[in-house]
Amino acid sequence: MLKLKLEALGHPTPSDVALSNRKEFASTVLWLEDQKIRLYTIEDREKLRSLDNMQIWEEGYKKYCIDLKMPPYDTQLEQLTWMVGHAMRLEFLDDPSQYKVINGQDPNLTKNNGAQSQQKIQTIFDGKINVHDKEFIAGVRALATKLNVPHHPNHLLQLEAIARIVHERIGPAAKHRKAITGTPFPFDKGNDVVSANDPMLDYPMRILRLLQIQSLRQLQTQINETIVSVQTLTANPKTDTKLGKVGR
Amino acid sequence: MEVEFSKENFLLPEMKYEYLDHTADVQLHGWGSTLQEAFEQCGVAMFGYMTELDYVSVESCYEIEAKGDDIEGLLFHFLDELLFLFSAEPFLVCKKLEITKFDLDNFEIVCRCYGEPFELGKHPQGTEVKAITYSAMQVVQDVEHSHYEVFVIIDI
Amino acid sequence: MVVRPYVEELKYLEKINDHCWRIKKGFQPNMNVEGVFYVNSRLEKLMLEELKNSCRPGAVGGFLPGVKQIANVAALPGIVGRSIGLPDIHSGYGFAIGNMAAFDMDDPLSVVSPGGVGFDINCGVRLLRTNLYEKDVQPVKEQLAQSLFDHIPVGVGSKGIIPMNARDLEEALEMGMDWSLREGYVWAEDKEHCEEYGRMLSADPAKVSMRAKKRGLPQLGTLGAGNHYAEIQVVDEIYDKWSASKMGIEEKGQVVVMIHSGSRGFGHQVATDALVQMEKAMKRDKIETNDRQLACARINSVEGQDYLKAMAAAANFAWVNRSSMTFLTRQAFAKMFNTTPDDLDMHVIYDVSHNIAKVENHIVDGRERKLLVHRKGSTRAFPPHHPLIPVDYQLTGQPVLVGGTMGTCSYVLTGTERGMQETFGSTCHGAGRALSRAKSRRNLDYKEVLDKLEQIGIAIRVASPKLVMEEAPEAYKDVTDVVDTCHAAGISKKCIKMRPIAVIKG
Repeated sequence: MLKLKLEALGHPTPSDVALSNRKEFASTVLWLEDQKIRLYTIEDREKLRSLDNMQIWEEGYKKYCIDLKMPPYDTQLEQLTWMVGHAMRLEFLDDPSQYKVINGQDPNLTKNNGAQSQQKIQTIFDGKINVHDKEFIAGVRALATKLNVPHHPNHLLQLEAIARIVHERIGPAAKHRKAITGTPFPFDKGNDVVSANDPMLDYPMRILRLLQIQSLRQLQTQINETIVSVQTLTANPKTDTKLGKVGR
Repeated sequence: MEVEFSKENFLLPEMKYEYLDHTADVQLHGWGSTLQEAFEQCGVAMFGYMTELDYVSVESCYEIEAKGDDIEGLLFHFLDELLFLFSAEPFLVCKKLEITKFDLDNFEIVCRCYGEPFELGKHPQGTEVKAITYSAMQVVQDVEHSHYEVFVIIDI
Repeated sequence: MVVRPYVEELKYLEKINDHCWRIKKGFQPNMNVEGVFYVNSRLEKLMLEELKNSCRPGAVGGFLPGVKQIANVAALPGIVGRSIGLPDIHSGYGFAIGNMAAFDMDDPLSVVSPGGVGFDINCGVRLLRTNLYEKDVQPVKEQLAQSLFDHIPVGVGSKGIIPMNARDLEEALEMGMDWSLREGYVWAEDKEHCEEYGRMLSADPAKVSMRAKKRGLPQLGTLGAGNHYAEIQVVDEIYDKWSASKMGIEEKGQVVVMIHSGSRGFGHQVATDALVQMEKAMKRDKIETNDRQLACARINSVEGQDYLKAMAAAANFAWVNRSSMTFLTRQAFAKMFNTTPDDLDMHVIYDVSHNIAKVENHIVDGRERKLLVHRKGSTRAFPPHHPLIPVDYQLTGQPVLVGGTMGTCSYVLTGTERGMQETFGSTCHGAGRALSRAKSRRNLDYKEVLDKLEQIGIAIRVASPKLVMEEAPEAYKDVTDVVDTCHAAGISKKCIKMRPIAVIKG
């Protein structure tokens, strides 16, 4: 993702940015400041420029993080991700109208979504199963067909979807739950219009928003339950009509 | 602070105040032959808006002090003190005010306030005064004819 | 102040469309931004008449006309966007009532003004629903009105019946509705349906004078006087069935309870104290305003910060106050119908503040900026999906509660995206005065006013009957005109109309 973002920003060699190397990191930071962020005047970038003397650079970088108001992140990856995000935001705000034409139908944007979340989970069950094993992938695909889970190029995402269905519909807790009755939610109604003339964008946006609202509702209900349980300990409402004459 | 007073020879002043027209609020207009009297009248006028003074009897007396930076400020703080006397302990409604110290060099007032604590059922409820304002405040001093007037808008 | 003939003044005003007028720079001196106000043809006449009257030679007294006040606010340091007048605007202390203005928090010269909040800090409206219908309530209407009147302390000099000492007050000022929750006066769901969740975290009771606390303590849990009221209302019309059902309003005839009250003497004193402090700060920092009543201080100054913290405490006071009356209302209903508030489904639909200043993020000229938004006699109206509105209203937009005056109808509106862009997510708050109090007293007879209410089937209990004519519908702008203007201008959307069947007033 970081590479994609760097590429979008016009970094000359996005795939060569190796985060393992502090110097490489330093030069990427300098590139971002020089080309995109431009927080400092050219003269003020002196210390950030000293790629040959990393001690001075580190000093300048420390101050730069503060001036940039970057949240205190621990790793280089997090810091760089934040800075790239910041740079993109600035880039966008320079001329928002330029990006108006980008919508859900643009094929260039949807091409790459498969290849991302592969980096971290390589094995599961303490390394007993290699998730890229052909057999494993075939198993996931078969299970998906059985459960009517739509195809996704990344089988791991598909596996996640399968896990949710099993958990919510087939698990022992779900078996005893009553089926939901009533009218289905009319999510085409309401006062919000996402993008009336672009169903490709409108439809998924509405679904995403509903999912978000559902999870918020769950959180709010948990909060309310917590409040009520505290109330059982603290609540003791009283009135004393002697205090004020009420009515006549 | 509550102070002693004698009910003998207790005279109520004549009414020298009125309520003037104003958009959302009401303007108090008090007058008298001294500035002191105009201040006293203006204060009573405010209580007259909170209840009907005919129902109020004089049972106790409290003394208040007020200070300001100028004459308008003094009037403002004087009325603010009176409003406070009504809004919190002792919840006093005043029928008569008597300014015992009226120092226009240092802008200080000491005033004795005669009345009784507000009591629902006994005193009819009028309008609540939220605050005193400086808006269009006027203090008119006609020394030659011994005629003094004050105008204050109260927020209700 | 610039004195010009009326014809000259009109040159600075421009009608942009059927519902909106622009006030150009130069109408008042030093305007940093333009002004704007929303009116329909009837309200427009009232507005211009007021201006015309003030142009007569020799006109003295009280407040400047609303249009002038909007323009003076536009001249305050740090204001962004426009100084906005809502349809129910009428002149008030410094800021007109129904004026909203936003100030850039990142501009060191920006100001906060107590006059832009009002004396009754966090005056607002709360709406409770019930599962009762008009046919259930009509036969017992008089008893129910009396029962409410017996439960809720109203009018001048009334004292609260919820026992409180000085320490309780300190806690309530800091905690807002969380205090009411802890003590068990309200339900967890009430908090959820409250602006700011019923608590401003910036509150600091230490910044509040002893005098304000002494005025506040006996008055907690009281309705107050003036235009404050509690009303039993019936749903009269539903314009947006889908949004109404999200609020638990299913059909015409359903009974709801509206409570309109504020922070009582506590808030009034906080405002008074701040005005005195700010007069001094203005001299020190050399802040020039067009009108002495626009006392203000830089947001970053000690006075500015102290006021914001004390104001937040007053806002918390108001929420505890409305919550206490919610408790008393539920008790009254439960007793009357011999059941529990739970079984009557007496949930809070929403609780709005229409006298407050808040820090909010808005998009100005394509950039997100942190603003201090003053709303005086103006209600926040955020659009669907705004993160600061409750999850239950994410799809409908924030409910906006617009209270009518004694005997007239009230409305529930919802916030719109257009309002977010045009008015910083703000809309009207009520009817707005048209006649002065003294004029209403002269022209109307209180017995007639009461008889009239009775004739149209409204049970009324009022603490000071002789003052009801000041609050008679005739003394106000027509709330329907006000709401229709907001709807037509698109800054909020009509959802439900209610009419009263019983009124409890100070």
